Parts: sequence; C-alpha cells; structure tokens
Amino acid sequence: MNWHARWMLPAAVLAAAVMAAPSAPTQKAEEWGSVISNDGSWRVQWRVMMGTKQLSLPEVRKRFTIELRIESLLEPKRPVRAVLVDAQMPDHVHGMNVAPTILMLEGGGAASEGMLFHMSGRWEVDVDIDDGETIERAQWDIGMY
Amino acid sequence: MAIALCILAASLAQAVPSSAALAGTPAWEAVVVESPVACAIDPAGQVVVADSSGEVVSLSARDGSVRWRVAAAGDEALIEPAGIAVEAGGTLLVSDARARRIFRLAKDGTRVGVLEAQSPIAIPGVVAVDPSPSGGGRIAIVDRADGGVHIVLPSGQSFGRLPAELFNVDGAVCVPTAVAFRPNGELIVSAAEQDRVFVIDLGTGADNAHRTASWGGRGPFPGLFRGPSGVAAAGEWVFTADTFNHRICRQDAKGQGRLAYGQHAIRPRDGNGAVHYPRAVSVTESVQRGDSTGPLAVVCEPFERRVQAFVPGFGSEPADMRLELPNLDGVQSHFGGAAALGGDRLALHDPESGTVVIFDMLGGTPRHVSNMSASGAKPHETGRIDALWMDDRGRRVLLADGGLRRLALWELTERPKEIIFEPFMAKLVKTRPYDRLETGPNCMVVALARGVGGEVLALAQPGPHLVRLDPSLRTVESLPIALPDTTAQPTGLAVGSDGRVAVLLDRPAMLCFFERTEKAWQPRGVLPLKELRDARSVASLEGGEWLVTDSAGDQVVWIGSGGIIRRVGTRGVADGQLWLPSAAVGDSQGRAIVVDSGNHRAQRFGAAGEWEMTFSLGRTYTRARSADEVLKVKRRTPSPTSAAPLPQGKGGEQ
Repeated sequence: MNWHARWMLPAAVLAAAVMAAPSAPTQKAEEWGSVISNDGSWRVQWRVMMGTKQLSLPEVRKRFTIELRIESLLEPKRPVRAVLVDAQMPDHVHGMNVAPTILMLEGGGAASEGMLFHMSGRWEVDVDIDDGETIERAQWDIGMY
Repeated sequence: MAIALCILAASLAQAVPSSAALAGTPAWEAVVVESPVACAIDPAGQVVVADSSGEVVSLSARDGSVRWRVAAAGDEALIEPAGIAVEAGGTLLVSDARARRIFRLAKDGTRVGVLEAQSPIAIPGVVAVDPSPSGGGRIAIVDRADGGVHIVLPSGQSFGRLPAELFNVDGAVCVPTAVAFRPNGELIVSAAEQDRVFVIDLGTGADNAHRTASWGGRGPFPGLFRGPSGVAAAGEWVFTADTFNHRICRQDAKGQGRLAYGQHAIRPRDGNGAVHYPRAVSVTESVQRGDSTGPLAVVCEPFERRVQAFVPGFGSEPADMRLELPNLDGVQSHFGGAAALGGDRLALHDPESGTVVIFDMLGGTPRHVSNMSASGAKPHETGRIDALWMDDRGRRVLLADGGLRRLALWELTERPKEIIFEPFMAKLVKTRPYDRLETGPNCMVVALARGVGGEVLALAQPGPHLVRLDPSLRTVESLPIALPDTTAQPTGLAVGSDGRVAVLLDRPAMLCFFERTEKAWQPRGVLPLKELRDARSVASLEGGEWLVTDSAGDQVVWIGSGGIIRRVGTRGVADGQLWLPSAAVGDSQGRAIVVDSGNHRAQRFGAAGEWEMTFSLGRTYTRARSADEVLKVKRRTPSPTSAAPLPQGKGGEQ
C-alpha cells in the first residue's frame, strides 16, 4: 500500500460510516429484492437463503446462499451466458474470505452458494452478468449492523 | 552508563551487518543511456546494455564508463533493442522488438550475423543464454506478441516452445515477461503482470519441461512482487527486478529468502543505491573489474535513464535482517501514461496502486475528489492501464486495461454541490474483454478517443483497427486502417474538431489522418514530426490544433496544419521542465495539462505555452520552483541543473 492509500483508508472509513448506513435496501422474508444493473440492461431479483429458509438478511459468520432471477431489459433480449457473484466491504477495502460456488439455473436464474459475511458493516453484493459480449454489473448494499 | 550503552550499541552494530553491506553496496551508476531495458555482464569486464531507444552500450564493469556504443544506422539498424545476452564465446545476442530479429554482435559491438531461429517468434523480447556445461548454449527468447517462451540452439534449431500450461497457477494464466538461466541450466521466468516467478526444468525437450517451483503474488512483503519485470540468476540465488516495489529481490530457487537491495528512490533522480522502477537486472559471481575480480549486479532503470551497479552479497542473510522503510517526505503521487479530461473532471492513472484518480478542475486549482479501482484481477480491479477515456460530461470513464486485457467502464456520480473527497463516487458499469472486440488474436487497445454521438473510438492492435463502440461498449463497427509502411508503432488517437481522426505514430513520429467514408477509413494525409523523438499521446484542441507529447524529448508540442507551432518543456525537474512526459490533454481554453510521469506530477500550461501550475495528489504550486526547491536540496550556490530562466508567476503553494 503506498503512502497516500494508507492515509486515504481512514478517510474512506470515516466517510463511509456517515454515508453508508441509510443506504441498505429493505427486503421482507418471502419477497425478492430487485435492482437494475448499472447500465440498465438487466433486472436482477435476489433473495437470501440459509438452507431452505429464506431470510431478510444474512447472519454474520454463517454461510448463506443468494438466489438470483435475471431478466434482460434489452430488445432483442440478451441471453445470460455466465454470472459471477462476489461481495466486498468498500469501506474496509476487502471482500469475503471465501469463494462462492455459482450454479446456473433454468430460466435465467442463478444461485451463489457458500457466501459468508465474516464481519458486521456495509457489504456490497456484486453480480456480474455476461451476455457473451459485455459483462455488466448489478450491485446492492446489505447493511449488517 | 552512557559510555557503556555506546559500547554496547557499537558492538551490536558490528555483530549485525548492515543491509547495504550484505544486500548490495552501490558500486557505480551510469547516466549515459536513454532507455535501458536489458543488460548482461561479460565476465571479461564489460556490462552491455540494451537501450530501447536504439542503441547497445558497453560499459566498463569497473566504473561504468562507456567503452563503445552501437547506434542506429544503416539498413540493419537497431531500432528497439529489447533483450541482450552474452554467449559462451563472448558474442552478444541482441533482440530487436521492431526489427523483429536477433542480432549477433562481437565483443566490440560489430555486427557478425543474425540468429535465424526456426521458431516462429513474432516480436522477440528478453533473451537469455544457458551457461550450464550440459546446456549447449541454448537460448531462451520471450515472444512479446503472446508471451510464448521459445528455446533454440545457437544454430537456430528449435528446442521447442514451452507449454503455456507451465505458467498456469490456480487456473490463472500467467504471461511470461523475462527469462534467465541458472548456472545448472534451470530456466527462471517472470510474469510481471501476474506478479509471479517460475523455475522450469527444461528436461530433454520443451515438451517434457516441468515446473520445479513458483512463488509470488502481489504485495510489498518479502516473497511478493509488484511487477517483476526482470530476472537474473547467480550462484544459488534468483534475483528479481521488482519494478513497482522499487527493489531487487534475492531468493533461492524455491523462493525462500527475504533479502532485497536497492532503496526506493523517494525523489526523482535519487541514486547511489536508491532504485526507481528497476526493469532488468543481471548478476554474476565473478567479473573482471580493473585489477580484481568479484561479484557484480547491474540494474536497469529506464525511468531514471540510468544503470546502477551493486556489489551483491551471496552469503546467507542474518535471521533478524529487516529492510528499513525510507522517509516518505516529498512523494505526492505516481502518474502513469494515461489521462482523460471530460467536462470539469480529469482522470489520471496511478500505476503503483492500480487506481484511477479523479480531479475536479472547475476551481482555480485541481482538487482530488475520488479514486476508482485498485490493483487486482476482479472485475472492479485493474492490471496495467494503457489508455483512459472520459465522456464529455465527465460522468463515465473507460479504462483500457492491457494487463487484464479488457475495457472497463465506470460511472461517476453527478458533481456534488460541495467539493469534498468522496471515496464512493465511482461504480463499475461493465467490462468487455479484448478478445471480444473482433480484431483478431492477441488484441490490445493502445488508445481511446471520444467519437461522434457519445461513441468510443478505440485503436486496437494488431491491424491496427479502429473500433467504434456505443456508450454501452457494444461494437458499432471494427475496421482496419492503413498506416504508412514503417516500424513506428501507433501510440495515440484523437478526433479533431473537424471530424478527422488522427493516429499518432511514435518513432519516426508522425500524425496520420483518416476520414470515415461510406465503406472505410480513408487516409487523409500524413504530417511528419521529425523533431520528436518518441511521440506518446495526441489530443485535439479547439481551432484544429493538436497536442502531442514527446516522451524521450521531454517536451509537449502544439501542432497546426503546417507542423509544430509551439513547444514547452526541457529535461529537468524544475517547474516548467519535464521528465518522460507520458500524456497530455487540452481543455476548452486551449490549455495543456501534461502528465509529467518522470517527476511524479502533472503540470498545466496556458494556451500560449506559459507555465501555470504544478499539481499532484498533494500540493499545487502556482509559483515556479527551481530544481533545488523541488528536490529539497540546500546549496550555497545554485545547482547547474536549476531551470534558467524560470517562468515568472505570482502565487504559491496551495
């Protein structure tokens, strides 16, 4: 880490503590959260599963699955060729300590198994959707406070 | 009591050797080369250096004085030497990435032939010669085109190309950059972009070669690298030019050992043991140095236009040896070779952290307002940034990442009312791998420009091709363009206010103009720029002018229809001077913002070429400083390297 990055980290943490808290989306059990990808090409619905039970939020230090429904918003529709799911804590400049397993499901769905949020705070979930030409990101925050 | 403590301290100091004494004591430095990218040591007492500006230079191993030079001349001129090695008989092998040949030179530099390698090597890069008795003088050559490692015999007969699978680690493909042979014939290979070093046993043929060790990973700690772009071997040790950690690492053939030498140069031009972006290293256990023989390590630093020699230590380091961190005073930023200006925002690249930094330019002085990305391989991380693009509102930034071979599109939030540093201003929108740009294999994007209607125009090699992308990075069209038949490489791209597209070639420098017709890009003339030594970037200005950086010439020029109309910059560190400027962008007022990479800063010049300010991530200076002020050198008399006369201006430090 060079010197300015070292100084910027505390500033980033401070700024994030002020800004990030209210941005976590709300999602009730039995419902799917929804987000539009960053270039508007996809609608991504998501829910958190622990085993067969749906949760409104993951639990800290417990493995969980994120299930996804992905719908093309472009005309003509684009196929989903591959999906990458990851999570990071931007305020702390690190990601998860584990690599999830991605399962592609019938009908444009996917499941990311083995996710683990190992600490409290703001987590950003990143879903990168590959249509064979570009790989577009959808992202949302989950507040673990 | 105090005396007892002093005695104790003195005895401890004697018991634990200093890191400099063991790890590499500075022997000499030679500032007689322009761009040293490879070196080799002839045991008879000379150090030969491949200078990518077009020379091979022989230095005395004793003191670094020049013994001879082979300059570019004639039909078989050296154009871009990229690798150099000494064969058993003392002849030199010099690979030339532009002439696309490997020359043989005698000890005195005279041309004696060409290595006619049977292997299909497109762009020869680093070369190494096997010194082991059983190796038969076999030669390893890195092909820059695809990172292939070819082994050939001295006759040119092919021993084979090493399988790419040898360089796969945990499913990730590593691309070889440099090679060196160990005394026992094992091949050391470094992959600079992936921060790894490999040891390969070549066996009886390339097909049965196997990896005996591999180590690395990105980071500053011992055993990790940040851009290991050169390797060497001597005795039981492997030496690595760890470019962005500014050090030479020494480890055994299993990657064990944490000794490094060279201290990070804190201010530009620091030497005498301080190392700045080392590109290559060569080490020998025994070389003739005047009346004596002994070990020597030689380090190439193209960033400093310098070669430094160290007397390396081959003994075991003490267990408690620690590297001292230097005082960081004076370092503000590191700017690479890419810049983009859109609206009131300026994007610059920091190659050390892999970050793109964003400045708000609306006020009187640039203000650093955000960072995006960091080094790594995830979708939101970066490898090596070759070009930047920004839309005309300063909202979207496109990164051409040659390390990860993809385009990455980012979006910034709207300009806030209050200008503060906002770490989460940017988010990744999407990426697009180069191999999906439909320009052929081994595609690399070398430049980006704003096209018509918000389009992105990308200049891609090989071809070259001009690729039009819509604002969502989807291909509108991809067409080849016809450049003059020259060894010059395209380095820049800009779209003029009249719609003409300008492609910049580096050396010989020229601007090639194109116009889009119904079916193709039609050539619309060439403007030679013979006064430039190494043209690196072009930007368009209002009124049909162009702004071109000349990296090797340490200058920036304004170009009109008839040629150069204005120039700024001389070689140096004073404000108004430049050192290896890598990019420039022009604002709506005709001013030039120049990335002064070699001085770790940016400078702004007015439309008439007058110096206005120097800025970085830290301070902004609007009063021009002398070289001594920049380097914080205190002298009784002015330094001869001070800029004279200095630009006159009021203002100060902000």
